[in-house]
Amino acid sequence: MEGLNRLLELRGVCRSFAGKDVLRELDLSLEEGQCVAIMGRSGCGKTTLLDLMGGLDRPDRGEIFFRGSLLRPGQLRRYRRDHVGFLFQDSGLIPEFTALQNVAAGVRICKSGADPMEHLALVGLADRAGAYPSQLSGGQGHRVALARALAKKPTLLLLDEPTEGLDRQTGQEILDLTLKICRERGITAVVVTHRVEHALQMDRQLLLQDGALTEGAVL
Amino acid sequence: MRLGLLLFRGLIRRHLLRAVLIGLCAMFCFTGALGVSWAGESLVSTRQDLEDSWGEADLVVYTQHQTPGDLEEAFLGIEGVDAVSEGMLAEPIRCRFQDGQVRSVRLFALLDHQLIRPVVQGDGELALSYGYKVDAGVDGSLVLALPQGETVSVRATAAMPMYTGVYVDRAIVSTDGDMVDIYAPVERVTEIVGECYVNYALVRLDGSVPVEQVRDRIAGSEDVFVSYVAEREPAYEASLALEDVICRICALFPWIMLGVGLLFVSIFLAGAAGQCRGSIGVLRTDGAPLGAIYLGICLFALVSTLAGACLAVPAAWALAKTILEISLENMGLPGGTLVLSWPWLIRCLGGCLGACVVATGVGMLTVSGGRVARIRRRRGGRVRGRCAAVVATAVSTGAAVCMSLMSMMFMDSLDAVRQEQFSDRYGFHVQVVYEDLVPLSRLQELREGDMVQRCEPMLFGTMSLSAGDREWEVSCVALSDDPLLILRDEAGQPLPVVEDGICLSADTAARLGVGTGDLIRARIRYGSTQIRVMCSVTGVSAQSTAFLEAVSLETVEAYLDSSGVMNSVAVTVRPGCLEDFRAYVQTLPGVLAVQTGEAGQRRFDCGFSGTRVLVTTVILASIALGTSVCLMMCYAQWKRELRRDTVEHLLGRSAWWLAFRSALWRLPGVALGLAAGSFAALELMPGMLRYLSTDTIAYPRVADPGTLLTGGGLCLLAEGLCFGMYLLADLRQWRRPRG
Repeated sequence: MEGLNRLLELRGVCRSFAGKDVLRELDLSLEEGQCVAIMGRSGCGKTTLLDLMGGLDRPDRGEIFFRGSLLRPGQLRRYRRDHVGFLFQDSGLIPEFTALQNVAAGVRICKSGADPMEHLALVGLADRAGAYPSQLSGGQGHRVALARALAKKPTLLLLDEPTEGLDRQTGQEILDLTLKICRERGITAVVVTHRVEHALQMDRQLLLQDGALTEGAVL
Repeated sequence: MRLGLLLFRGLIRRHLLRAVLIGLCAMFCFTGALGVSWAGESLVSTRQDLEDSWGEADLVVYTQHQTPGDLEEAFLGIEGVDAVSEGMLAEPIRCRFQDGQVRSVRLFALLDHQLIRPVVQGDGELALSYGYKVDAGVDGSLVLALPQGETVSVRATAAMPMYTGVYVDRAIVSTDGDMVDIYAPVERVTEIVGECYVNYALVRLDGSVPVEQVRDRIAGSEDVFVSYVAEREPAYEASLALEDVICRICALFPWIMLGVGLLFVSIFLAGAAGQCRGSIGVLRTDGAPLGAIYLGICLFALVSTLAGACLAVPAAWALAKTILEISLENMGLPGGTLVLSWPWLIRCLGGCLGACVVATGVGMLTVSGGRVARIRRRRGGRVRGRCAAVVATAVSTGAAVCMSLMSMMFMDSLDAVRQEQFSDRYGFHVQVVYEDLVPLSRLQELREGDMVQRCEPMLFGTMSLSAGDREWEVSCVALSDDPLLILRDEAGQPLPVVEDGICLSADTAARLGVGTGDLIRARIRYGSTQIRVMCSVTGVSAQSTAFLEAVSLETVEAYLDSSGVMNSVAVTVRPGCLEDFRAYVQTLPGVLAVQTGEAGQRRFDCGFSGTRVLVTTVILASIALGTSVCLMMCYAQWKRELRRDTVEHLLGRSAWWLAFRSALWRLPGVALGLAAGSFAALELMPGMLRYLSTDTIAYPRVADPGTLLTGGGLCLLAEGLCFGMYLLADLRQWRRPRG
């Protein structure tokens, strides 16, 4: 019964770059609907861990299970398309598309059937649907990126320092909005952050240090 | 599918400038490729049309004056002759032209148009030779006063295969420009010259008997005195030699244009695709299928390229029409309309499709590189980027240097032919040509008035040379011991003209398979006089315009019934006396033409002006293309360097040092390109010259150090300007005040 609630499980995952071990025999399991914060010094491997969880990278050793099934290299694109939403620190919008098109692109990719305009309204940017990323402020860009990620109706939302570059108030608003929607929809959220107050809003806090995770610790 | 279309729309919106640049590149390359090949196709077609409309014969026969019908009756009885057309080539008459000059006018007429029908354009009975109209730059009608005082106006032009022109010109070399051919109905010619006769015939063979046998039978005809029989082909090919050169350039140039254009399109497309790597990364992160991304990029490439290709059609039409008109004018051929042939259309579509495929392929390759951009970290980008910039600079510089050097060397070769014709060979200012053989005593009248520094008699004619079973028709000149007309060997040394010796051109020597010291038989004709002599080859000239052989005047005189004759005189005049001398000679009796070096040179330049325009275009285009390619290939690397250098400048590094370093990095590429381009040009040039050479002009290889320096220098200057723009942009960026 416990296994049914387990969304993602990393077993003995190792990843190294240029001979340097970034992640060492790392184990992690995420429950459905859980909000998790990952903290750690810069360069400790937080983004690498997020890439592995999101199917953007493959571990050198170890296995990753999604809902009890092993994620194989050939399944990663479908896994990302159907289950994972991303929100990066640089918002990750497509400059060629308008705000609405950015959200619609996500919908079209995963064929979720969501209404892009409704999601833009959800983040309070319905009136900026026709604006291009270059015409949006940093906070607005993050909101559009959030709308795009949510429009995919993901089961796992990965946020890589989503408030980075934003003022305290805007950052807090975006995080609050994100957590509210995730909790309403039962989405598992993994947030990489340097801010302790943000981490404390999560259900679970993890510290990444020397390639290993420590439960409940904060910097 | 919808995602691909969405991406395509986004790319067009955000990268409109690049789309326009890709379109312009495609337009540029297709305009060049389509236009030049279209002109080439049309030239070939025009030539075919002319052959169809004016007909053709296999042999041309010159005879003494005969009663109309005699030649037809005499030649039709010979086995192998299918049809005969008689013609009347009147003795030249001296007419005063509207510019005040006195020139020889040669009237000719065809009694029937069974074999040949001149293409006449304009009004009136008299039609000026189209070739003369073009060469002499005659604009509008020509007004001339006939010897009997009548003034006639020539408002039409006539074009036909130059059977008469070529052979008569070859018999009296260098009367070009001073001898006007006018075609008219036989009744009008009879009215002007006062008698009706026939003296040449065009003969078509039925192919049942070898052409040599028919020639011999016609030459030995008992009923008429045949002075000269020539096959059609040499005359015809000679008249169209320039067309062949242009057609060959037209065949080669489109491929170069297509290659360069594709390179441009690829660079711009790679730039566009490279700029949206981030977007591709985001889409791939969201799980977008690669096919949709490919579709977007490929549509971007395809639409931009196709738009350019479509715009190229009217531009190609204009280019093709211009080339066709220039070429036909140079060739002395009338008319010419652009034709659309199936092979050409298929080639165009194939080229367009190929360009789109290449452009799409480049886009896909760039996307393939970009799709993992987020996943894999990029390492070693700085060194790799700089190496790529060096290679790109070397390749583009090499291509520019190679193309421009080859074009300039070809121009040098053209100039060498020109110089050989008018400086090296002819050490005289004026050539006086007489209507027939005149005694050497007439040299004295030329010396009157003290305008002449030196004059030497010459005896021009045609001759059949044979060695073993090989035979070849050439023009020849009999020269004195110390002639003003000089043939030179490969080393540039004058060849000796000695008794019982003959100097052959390299082309003739090769055709006959003989060399210095070999004995050959020569049958030499001067008007109606014909002699047969055995000569030993005393030297082989390395003349580029290879249709003149030289024998000693003593050799000829020994065989002539009446020695001490000439039909031409080479004259050097005292400074400032040229026009007076010319005017004086025009008043002398029996003078057929007074040809000055300048006039001949002008005619030569006029004939080659189209080729020069093409070559100059290639030089400029190659420099522009090479530098532009270099500029674009370095653009991405420059942008990367700029960011890094800006940071360095903010940290205190001198802007000038950074600019110097930026330029320094490109120097190895420039040096490499310069060396490789020069080497390639020198290696490829002999093959290129062989490709462009024709039966009448063998382009010499001229490797002038000045040309090499100029060509390389021009390319370097152009690239230096381009890099200078970069550096200025660098400096402006670094010196911008920051707050």
